[in-house]
Amino acid sequence: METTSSSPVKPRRKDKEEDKFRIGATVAFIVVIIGIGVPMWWRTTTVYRVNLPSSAILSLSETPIKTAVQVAIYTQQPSRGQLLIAELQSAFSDSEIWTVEFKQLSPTTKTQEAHTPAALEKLLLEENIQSVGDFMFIEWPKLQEELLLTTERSALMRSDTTSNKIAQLLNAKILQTYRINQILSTDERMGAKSEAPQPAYDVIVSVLNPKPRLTHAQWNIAMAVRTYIEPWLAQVSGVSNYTVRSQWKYRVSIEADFKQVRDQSKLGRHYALQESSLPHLLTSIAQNLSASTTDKPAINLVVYIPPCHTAPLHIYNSKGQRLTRNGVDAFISPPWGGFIIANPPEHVCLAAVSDQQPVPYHVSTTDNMQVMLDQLHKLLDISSELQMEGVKAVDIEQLEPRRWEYEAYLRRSAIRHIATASSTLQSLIKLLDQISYIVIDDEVGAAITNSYSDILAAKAALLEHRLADASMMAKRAFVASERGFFDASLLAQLYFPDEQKYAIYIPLFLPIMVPVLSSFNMLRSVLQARRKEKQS
Amino acid sequence: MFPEAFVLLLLVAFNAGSSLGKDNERFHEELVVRPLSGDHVNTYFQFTTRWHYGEKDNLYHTQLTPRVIAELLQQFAVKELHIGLTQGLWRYETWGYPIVEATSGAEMWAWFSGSNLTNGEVDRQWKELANVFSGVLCASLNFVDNTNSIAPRHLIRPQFMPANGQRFVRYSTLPREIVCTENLTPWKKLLPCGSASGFASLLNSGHVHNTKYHSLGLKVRVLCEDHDEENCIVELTQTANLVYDLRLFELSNNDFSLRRLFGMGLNGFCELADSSKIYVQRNEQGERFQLVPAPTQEVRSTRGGHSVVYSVYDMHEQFKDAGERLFNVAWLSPKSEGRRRNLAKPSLPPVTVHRYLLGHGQERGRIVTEVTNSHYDALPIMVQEVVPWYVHAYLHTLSIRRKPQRVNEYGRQRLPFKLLHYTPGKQRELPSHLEIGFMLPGQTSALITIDVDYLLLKWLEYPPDANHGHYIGAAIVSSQLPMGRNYTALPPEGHLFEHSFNATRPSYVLSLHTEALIVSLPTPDFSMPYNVICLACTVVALAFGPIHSVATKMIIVGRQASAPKNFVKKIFNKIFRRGKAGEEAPAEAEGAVLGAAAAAAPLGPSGFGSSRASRTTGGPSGDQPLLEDLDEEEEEQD
Repeated sequence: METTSSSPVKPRRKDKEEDKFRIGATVAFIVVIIGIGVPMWWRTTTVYRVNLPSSAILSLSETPIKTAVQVAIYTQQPSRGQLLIAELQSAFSDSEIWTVEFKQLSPTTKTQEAHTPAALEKLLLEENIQSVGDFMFIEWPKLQEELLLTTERSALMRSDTTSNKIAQLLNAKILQTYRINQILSTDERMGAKSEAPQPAYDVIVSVLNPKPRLTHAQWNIAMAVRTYIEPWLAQVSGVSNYTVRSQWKYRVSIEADFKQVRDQSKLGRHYALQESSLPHLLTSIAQNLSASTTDKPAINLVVYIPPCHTAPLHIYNSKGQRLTRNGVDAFISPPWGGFIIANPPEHVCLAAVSDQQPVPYHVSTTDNMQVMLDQLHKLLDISSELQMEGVKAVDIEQLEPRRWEYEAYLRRSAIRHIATASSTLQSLIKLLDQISYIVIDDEVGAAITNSYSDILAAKAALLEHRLADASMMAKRAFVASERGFFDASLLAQLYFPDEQKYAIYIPLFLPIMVPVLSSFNMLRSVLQARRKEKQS
Repeated sequence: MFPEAFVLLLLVAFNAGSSLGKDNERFHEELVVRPLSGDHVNTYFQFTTRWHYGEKDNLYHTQLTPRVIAELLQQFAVKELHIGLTQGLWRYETWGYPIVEATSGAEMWAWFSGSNLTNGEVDRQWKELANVFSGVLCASLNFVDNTNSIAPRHLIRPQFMPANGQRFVRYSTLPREIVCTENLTPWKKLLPCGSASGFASLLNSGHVHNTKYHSLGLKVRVLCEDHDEENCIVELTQTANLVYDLRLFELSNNDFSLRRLFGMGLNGFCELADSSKIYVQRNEQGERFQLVPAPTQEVRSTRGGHSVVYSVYDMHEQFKDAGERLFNVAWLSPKSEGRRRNLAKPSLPPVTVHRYLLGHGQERGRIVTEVTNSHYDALPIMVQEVVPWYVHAYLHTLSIRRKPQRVNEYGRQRLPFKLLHYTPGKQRELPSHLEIGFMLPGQTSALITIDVDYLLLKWLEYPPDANHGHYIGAAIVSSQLPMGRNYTALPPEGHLFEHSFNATRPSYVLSLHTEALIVSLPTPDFSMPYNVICLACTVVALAFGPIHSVATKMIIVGRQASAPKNFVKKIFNKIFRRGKAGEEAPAEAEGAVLGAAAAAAPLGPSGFGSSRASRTTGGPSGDQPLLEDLDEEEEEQD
């Protein structure tokens, strides 16, 4: 710069005095805008979130769900009992799911005198109080099978039954280890993962009569439901509550192709319903099954009475084989429900075919209700279908399910509820970390916290051998976690994401921040100047 | 004022078991066709399901009654429920009174009764009930809440039994609701036969929604023998009231037929129906037509001194023989009449109502309801108004002026109130609710006016399409007629249309709906909040810049040692220097700061100022030219 020498002019005295104020003003601007303004803006525009035990929830899966079970073994020789217990203990020692506690029961004079297995069982059950979920093996030498499961929490075994067999039975039927593994596995490919049981269901029995003028079917469905289904459901309502309703539906046409097949019956033909068209059939009737006033999930049990011009109707598979078993044509589709084809009796259709007056008839209650109960068993997933060689179960005499079966169901649903609730909470926490504009209000926050503490309590109860408590708390945790996850208030800020917040306030912050930040630079140079002054 | 209790024929003896084994449940379908004046035809469908269910436990198992109705009675303490979904306006002057009343849009009211019911509990159930039927009928009834519901005091009377206990009523209208085929389809699904057979098969959305007026109705009521609720009947009445304009068919004459109206003939009757009948009105406007096929049966009904003749077609007889066919009824007008419009003047109904809005601007207005009594005697009149919360009504401005029917102008003559009930509205919480009762002398009109103010809404409270305006629901005007002219409503104790035949009573309760109103509230520009934020931010930022500079910066004048005096040289020099300054700026600035700091060191506090000055002159900032200009001006002044 040769032409100009813009040498600094000496500041006047007044300027020097004002410098103090300038520095003060600069500092004041910085404090007000960066110290007060920005935090206040951040606080007032931030999304409301309650404090959650996030890290604790994320580490929920680190402690595995472990269940304690007590198994008592009664043998006539104490030495055999000891041997069995030692072998069984080693078999279950490395289990990640179970803490099985074996207990030996020694023969007493009373037990020696028992003449029937039932009397012995009764005696032993009286002497040794079992809590929910426990089990007992009783030796009875004159048994035909190796193992015989009773309807209570016990099984009879022969004197030569090996510990291997007992361990197998425990894993397969009593504890159902493979199913628990399915529930707990995080691997999607394991499949077969049914949904966790909801706290309440509507069981809706619908009778479809598409041609009421031609088919005069009569059925006191209310009575049938009251005698068969309600008492059974009352026995299994420990996990979920069931409300049974029934309805008749007329003029509901099902959309499927029926193929006529010749046969030897008096009608000379029957109709074939292809297995592949069953899903379409369900879709076509589901929309006609009437709305509901509650938001409870429904289990539909449909009895379809085919009109005579397409009766009798049977299900065929793709290879052209008839799938009727024991005169029953039915199928289930979990969790939607079951479907039964109730063909009218032959004489009714014979009359209809020969253009006579429609013959009124009664739909068989026992046949259809038995099928329906069986379908319910499968839909609710209570009974254990697994067959084992050398193991037999006593047939059920009353409506209630076998006690060990039901308790295995309780245990399974408790574990499933805990697993589902933990994974729901974990996904929610992960979502919250990723999407910053999800609102968590007090109510949802409370639901999440309660659910978390219930999960912990349920896990502890399982370990402490209190199955009933665990089941109750696991259910509560599950319900609370679902409520927290699906609450509509989570999405209150859905249409105002953070990007918009920044976009709107940029016209304010950009022009304000540039001079304020650049004044930092100035302060620095002043400080440097002062330091130099001191040094010199 | 009105008789409190209705005499209800409670336990109708049911016929012995029918072919389908439904011995305690009855379904009836009826169709009424009434030619109206002005080339209009009114068709009225009524489907009635009556179930003597006895105890409440039996509600779990349904046959003809839809399950949702049974669940409704189990879940809520509801005893009577009316829902109307209507499109169009019923013209009382030319069409007479309809069989069922409805206001355009959605209308809903319900009676609740039960032990230990509280007002809060009823509010909760009412909201849930509206939500349930919002789903069942695919209507926007979920918008029903406390801000648009009232508890009518006098005008809505209960029709359930026993109604003498503790009871609550809630009423709401949604005048904005548009009724369309998505409501018709679920409505038809509630029928036992659906739309597969019977009269419901005539209700095809294409033809129903071509009408001038169509109204779907749903009415549920419970009739119990006593308070124990162990012997009860639930009655579900579904109605569809349509008015066709024959001129729209573009015919050469005024003939019409079922097929013409509905697009198809009747394919039979619903197999589950106990009766399935078509009633065709033969007198008044119906006299002009000849029916094909000729009816087999005729009914003359005299009610309140007024006779009506109906021809009856019983579908059970028509379809006695097997075989598929379609049934059709044709109305043939005499050939001489031709295409000429039917100008026969109808007899004016005794009470007619109108409503309109006065005032201009978006601040003040006046709601006017006009009731005309053309009967020769005085009639008791009751009016119920629901004014939404965004409109403030002033009770002190309420007045009723009267005039003789033939005079055009209203004078100063006032009518005294016999009854006045007013619940003031609360912003965003409650609507204003007004009920007034007075005696209207014969041959007289009454003009009820009330002044209102319009409120400003918050920007989130505007509905979609805010410029359409806001609705004020229709007022209900109720009266008691001493005679049955033009009166076709069902008596409260009856449940079928045929129960209105010869149903002479001391008086007939009439209720009419006025027009709904639209007010245009001040409507803002909805992008405004964003604009305001952005604009305010910009203004603040613009103000902030200079203030910040003034408060923290000092301008120091730098002197130029050798400045060219020549004007051309000056400009040349300026351009040349600017380019150079830009190139050398970074290095120079750094050097200048250091140099200045070093130089300023002995000067003490002044160091800051000088360093600033050197930065300003040396740096490539926008201030530079300004400073130079200042320099030069100073020099020139020197």
